[in-house]
Amino acid sequence: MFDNRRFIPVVLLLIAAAMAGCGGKEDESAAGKDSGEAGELATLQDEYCVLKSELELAKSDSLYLVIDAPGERLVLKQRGTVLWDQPIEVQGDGDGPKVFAASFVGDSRRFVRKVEDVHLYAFSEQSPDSVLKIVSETVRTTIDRMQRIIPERFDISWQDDLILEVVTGIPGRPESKFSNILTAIHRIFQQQGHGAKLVIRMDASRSVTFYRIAARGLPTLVIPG
Amino acid sequence: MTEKKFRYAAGISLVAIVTAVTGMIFSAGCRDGRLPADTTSLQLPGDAQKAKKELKAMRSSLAKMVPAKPYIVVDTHSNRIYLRTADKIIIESKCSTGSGGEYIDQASGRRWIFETPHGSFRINSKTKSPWWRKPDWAFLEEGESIPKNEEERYDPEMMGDYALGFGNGYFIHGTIYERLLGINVTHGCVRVGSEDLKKIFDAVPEGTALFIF
Repeated sequence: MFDNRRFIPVVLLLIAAAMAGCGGKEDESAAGKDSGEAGELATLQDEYCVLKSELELAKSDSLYLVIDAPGERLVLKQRGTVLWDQPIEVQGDGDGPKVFAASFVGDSRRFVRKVEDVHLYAFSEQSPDSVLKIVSETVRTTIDRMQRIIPERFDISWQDDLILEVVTGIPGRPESKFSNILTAIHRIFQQQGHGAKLVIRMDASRSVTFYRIAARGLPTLVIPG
Repeated sequence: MTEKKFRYAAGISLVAIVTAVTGMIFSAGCRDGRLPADTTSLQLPGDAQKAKKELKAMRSSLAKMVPAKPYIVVDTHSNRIYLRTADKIIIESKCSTGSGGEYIDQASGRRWIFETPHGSFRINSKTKSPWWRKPDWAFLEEGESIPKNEEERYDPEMMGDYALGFGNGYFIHGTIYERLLGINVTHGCVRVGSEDLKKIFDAVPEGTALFIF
């Protein structure tokens, strides 16, 4: 005679195993949901920091630079309004904008830093001094005030060894070879640390504005990728 | 140690010291300066819905600061003027901005600095065929006496065909010296070539936002 009772433990075991399996899936799903929400909150937290920073900068009425890594552009803003912008054209095989932005923000989550130093390696002059001399006498100013520098190469640095180098390809002359050597050595030491270096190419006429704006102390906001 | 080796070691040491000192000087600048926005301690509300609501409000606050219509930007660094939106340049042209020179009237001691003001402004007047009302410095610079008759102050040529006023006697206007566009030669106004000036004049209404940097 077939005894159904013999199968009861087996059936119970199968049911228990099935329930445990389902339970496992629920746990996984719950864990996935938690990590998804945490990831979403982390993204929102970044956006919050960027927006909060920009609102504060925009209220100050002074110029600020935005390094927009996902948009791959440099933007000069005042009161939240774009005054000047420039696509980031990476030169050579250095760090890309997203790597640079990630280093800029770093573990301490700093989205705003001030320009610490600007070094001009070589430059040419926009107008011949002889022409400006004539004009300057008429308008009662000095040649220095009227002259515009076209950089061949300059770099901007922020704390924690973050360097943005700009090259234009316009042949120029160095202002001080000694200073260039010292800066080059200093940059080599900086590159041994945890910083980042982004080298970009810029049209000469655009670089005139960027070089003059990128003064020490310029607030810089980074939008990470 | 031979003398050659000693010199070599001394040279390396010198470079290392100079580099270290230079590094300290370079990096001393802004480290202690207060950042305009300290993001290291910012914390978004833990609840995703509340967080999104707060972000929406912040985006809206920032968007309200940006002009809704095309605006004018004057770049005094490269002497260029733009009519633009946030992501598109509509008109770009050479211009001339303030020379930064100064004039002191020896007789009265009055002093003028010829700079274009920086900041955000609004176009508050639009004039076709403007006449320039010459200020006192315009006479004094030329060694002329300041006229008592108001009518003697007006010059119908100097400002070109159009003028856009932005306050305190400053204008974006035309010029009879187009060859000097691109150079800082003005007494503070923004000079633009006649063709581009007409385009800008026709495109912007009074109230247009103007940024000068």
